[in-house]
Amino acid sequence: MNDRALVCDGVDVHLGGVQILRDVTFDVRPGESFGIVGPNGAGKTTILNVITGIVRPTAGTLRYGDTDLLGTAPHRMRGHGIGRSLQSTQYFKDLTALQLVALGRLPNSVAGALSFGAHRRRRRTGGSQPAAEALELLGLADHAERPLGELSSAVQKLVDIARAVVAGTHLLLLDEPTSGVSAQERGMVSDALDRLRGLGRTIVLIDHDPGFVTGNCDRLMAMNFGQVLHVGEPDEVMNNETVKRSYLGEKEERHDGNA
Amino acid sequence: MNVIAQAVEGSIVTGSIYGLLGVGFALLFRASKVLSFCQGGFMLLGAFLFYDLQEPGGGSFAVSVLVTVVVVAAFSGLVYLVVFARVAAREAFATSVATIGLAGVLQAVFAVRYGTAPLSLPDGVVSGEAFRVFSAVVPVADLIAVGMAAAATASLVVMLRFTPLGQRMNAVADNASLAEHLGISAARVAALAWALAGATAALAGIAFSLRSSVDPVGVANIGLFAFPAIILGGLDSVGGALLGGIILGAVQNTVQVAFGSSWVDLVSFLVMLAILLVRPSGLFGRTEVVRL
Amino acid sequence: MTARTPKAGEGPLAGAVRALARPGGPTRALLGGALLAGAVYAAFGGPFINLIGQSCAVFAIAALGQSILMGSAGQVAFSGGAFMAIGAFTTGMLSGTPLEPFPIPLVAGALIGWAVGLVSGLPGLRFRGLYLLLASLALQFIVLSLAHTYQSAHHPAGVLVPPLRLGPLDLSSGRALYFTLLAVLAVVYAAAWAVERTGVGLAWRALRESEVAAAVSGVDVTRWKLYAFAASGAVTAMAGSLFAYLVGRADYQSYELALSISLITMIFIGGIRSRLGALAGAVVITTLPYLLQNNLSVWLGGLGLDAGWYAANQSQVNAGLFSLLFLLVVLFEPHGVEGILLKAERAVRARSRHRTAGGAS
Repeated sequence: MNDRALVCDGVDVHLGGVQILRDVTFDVRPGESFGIVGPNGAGKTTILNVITGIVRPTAGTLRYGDTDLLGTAPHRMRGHGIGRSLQSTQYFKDLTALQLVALGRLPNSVAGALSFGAHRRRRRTGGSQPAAEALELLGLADHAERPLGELSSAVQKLVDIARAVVAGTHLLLLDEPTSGVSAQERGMVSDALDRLRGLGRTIVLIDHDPGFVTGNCDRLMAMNFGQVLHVGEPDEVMNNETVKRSYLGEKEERHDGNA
Repeated sequence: MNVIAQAVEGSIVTGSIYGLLGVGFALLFRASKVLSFCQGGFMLLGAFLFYDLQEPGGGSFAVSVLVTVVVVAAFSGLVYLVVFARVAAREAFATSVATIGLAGVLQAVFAVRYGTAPLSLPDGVVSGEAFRVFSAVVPVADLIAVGMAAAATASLVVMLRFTPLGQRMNAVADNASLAEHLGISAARVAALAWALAGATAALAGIAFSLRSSVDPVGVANIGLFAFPAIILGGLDSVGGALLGGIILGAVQNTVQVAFGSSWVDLVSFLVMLAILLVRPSGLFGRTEVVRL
Repeated sequence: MTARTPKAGEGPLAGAVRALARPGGPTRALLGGALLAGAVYAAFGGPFINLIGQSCAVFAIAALGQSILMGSAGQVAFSGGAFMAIGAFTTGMLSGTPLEPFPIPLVAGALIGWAVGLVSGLPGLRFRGLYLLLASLALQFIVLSLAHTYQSAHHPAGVLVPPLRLGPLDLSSGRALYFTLLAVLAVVYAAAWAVERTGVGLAWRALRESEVAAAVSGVDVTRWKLYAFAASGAVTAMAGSLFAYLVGRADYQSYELALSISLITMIFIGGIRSRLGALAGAVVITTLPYLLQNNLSVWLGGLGLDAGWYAANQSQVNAGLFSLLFLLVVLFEPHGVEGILLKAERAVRARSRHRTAGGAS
C-alpha cells in the first residue's frame, strides 16, 4: 500500500533572471488527490517540472517518503514510483496507443531494451503484458493498434495516463488532463481518475477547469505569480478572500483584453 | 619586438576580416534566427564584383567599393526574401541547413564564371605605401581592412542601439511574434538584416582581395572558419563578433608561427568545440540561445 | 504457453498482404522493388554499371549510418565525411600489419567509429539543433585536418589499401566485390531493421519526436542519444572502410565537407524518416553525376543551347546542381522521394474511399 507523502518545502526557482517560484511549501498525503489551480504563468507546471527533475530549484527541499527527489534525473522518477502525464501528446501522434503505453515500461538498459517487445502486437498469449493490461484497465483495449493522432483528445489523454501508471506508479502527476477535451468527454477522464484513486494512487492534478479540479480532489492549492495563496479543502480555498481577489483581478484583466 | 608587433598587426587584420563576416552573421541570426552558411559566398561575390569593377583599368576606389557593397547587400536581402523568408519563419533550423545548399550553388556559379585559378587585383588599386605603427609595418591595404571592420561594427552597434530601425531589429530578435503584433514586419526586418550582412561580407571580400589573391575555394571556406569567431563572441552579439574575430585571428597567427599552417584549422575548430562544450553562449551572447 | 493453430487469414501471406495494405506499405514496396531491380541490373549490366553499383552499395551503407542519427534520433550532423575517413584511414593504416586481413580492418573501423561517435555525442547531450550542427562541423574539420597531416607526412599519394580478400577468395573487383558489398549492406540493413523494432527503436523514436516528452515518459535521453551517435559512427566508418577497399586507397580529399553534405542530401532526398529512403537517396545521388555526364550535353544540345561550357566545367556544375537539389529538398520536401510517394499514395487512397463511399464518380 502506498504510504508515502510528498513534501515540498520552501522551493524557489529562478530561470533566465526571473523568479518563477517563490517559497512554495505544501505536502501531499498518501492516497489523496491534490489539485493545483491558478492562472497561466502561476507556476503550476514548473512545480511538476521540479518534482520530476526537469527543473532544479535554487532553494528548498523536496522529499517523497524517505527519498530526496532533488538531483534525480527525470528518467529515474519511474524507479521511485512517480509517473507524469504529458501536457500535450501531439509529439507522439504517430505512435500507436500500445507503443505509447509501452514507453512507460521501456527499460533503459541495452539488454532490456533490445529484448523489449511490449510495444508490438503479440499473437501468442502467455507471459505478462503490462502495457496491454494497463490499456484494459482504463477501458482502452480497442484502441491499442491505432495511432494516437486518430483518437479523440480524451482517449489520447487516457492512453498517456495509462503510460504514466503502467510501471507500478503510486504517485501520479497529471498535467492538464482536460485541456483540449470536450465537455462530454470529461466524464471519461473523471472516471479514470476515480478508478485510480480506488486503487490507492496518490494524485497531483493541475488543471484550468476549476470545476473539474474541485470535483476530483480532496484538497486544493491555489497559486499565483509563483507563490502559494492558500491550501485546503476545495470549497474553503475557492472562497478564500486572498484567492478570490487574486483570480478576480486576473479575470478582469483578461476580460478587458478581450473586450 | 618587431616580430611580435608584426604578429599582432597580422592578427588584427585577419581578425578584422573574420569580424566583418561575423558581425553580419550575428545581425542576421538575431533577426531571422537562421545560422547562415552563405556569408562566405557573399564575400566571394564581393571580391569578384570588386575585381570586375577594378580590372579594366581601375575606376575610383570608393565608387567601386560602394557599388559592390550595394549590389551584394541587395542580392543578399533579395535572396532571403525570395528563397528563405517563408520557411525561416516556421523552421529556422531547416533554413540554416538549407543555406549550405545556397552556398554550394554560389560557389559553383563563381567557379564556372571565374574559373578556379586565384584572381589577383591589378597593382595600384590602393597605394602601396606602408606606415610604421608600434614597430610593425602596416600597409595601406591593412589599414583599410581594419578601418572597414571598425567602421562597420561601430555603425551597426550604433544603429542597433539608437535608431528606430535598430529598435525594430532588437524587437524582432527578442520576440518575433510579439513584434508582429506591434506592427513590425519581421520578414522585412530580417531581409534588411540580411542585406546588411551582405554588405559586411562584401567589405570582407574587398578587404581580403586587397591583401591577397582570391582563391574561390579558399575564400568560401573562410566563411566557415569564421564560425569559431562568432561562437567565441556569442552568436547574437554584434560587438562580440568583432572581438571574437580578432581573438581568432590572434590564435591562428600564433599557431601558424609556432606549429605551421597545417595546424591552423585544427586548432581553430578545437577552440570552437571547446567553447561549445564549456560556454556555448560565448563571451557576450545570451544564454537562452543555447536552448535551440 | 500453448501454440495456437493459425486461423484462416493469419498465415504469413495474409500478414504480408496486411502489411502492404497499411499506410505507407505500397510506397515501401515500390521503393524496395525499384531498389532490388536496380541491384540486379547492377549485378549483370556490364562492368561499368557494376562499378556504379559498387559505389551505390558503399554509399547506401554510409547513408544508413547517417540515417540512424538523423532519422532515428532526429539530429542533423555534418560529420559523415569525417567518420568515413576514420574507417578508410584505419583500414589503410592497418595494411602491412598483422591486422591486415579482411574483415579485421572493417571491424576495427567500426569500433573506432563507435568510440568517436560516442564522444562526438557528448556536445549533443546538452543541446541539439544549431549547436550540434556546429559541433559536428568542428569534428569534420578536426578529423580531416588530422588525416591531411598524417597523409602529407607519410603517404602523400594516399594510404594504400590492399585488395579485398576473404581467406583464399579474391573479392577485390568486379562482381565478386559487388556482391560482397551488397552482402554487408544487407547485413547492416537487417540489423537496423531489427533494432528499430525493439525497445531501442522505440526510445529513438520518442527522442526524435520530443526529448522533453521522452524524458518525462521515463526514457534515459542521454544514454539513447549517445548510442545513436555511436551506432551511426560505427556504420558510417564501415562504409568508409569499404570505400577505401573499392578505390584502393584512403585519400583525405575524398572525405571533405562536400561528402558530408552529399550524405545529408541523400537522406533528405530519400526521405529523412526511412531506411529505404536512405538507400534510395544514396542511389540517386551516386548515379546522378553519371546520368548528367551522359545525358545533359545531349539535352542541352536538343534545346539548342551550347553544351561546351558544361563539358568544360562539369565537376563544378555537377556540384552546383547537387547543392541546388539539396537546397530545394531541405526547404520544400524534406521527406524526399518517400514523402512524395506517400502523398501520392494518400491521394489515391482518399480518391478510392470517396468512390466507394459515394458510388460512381
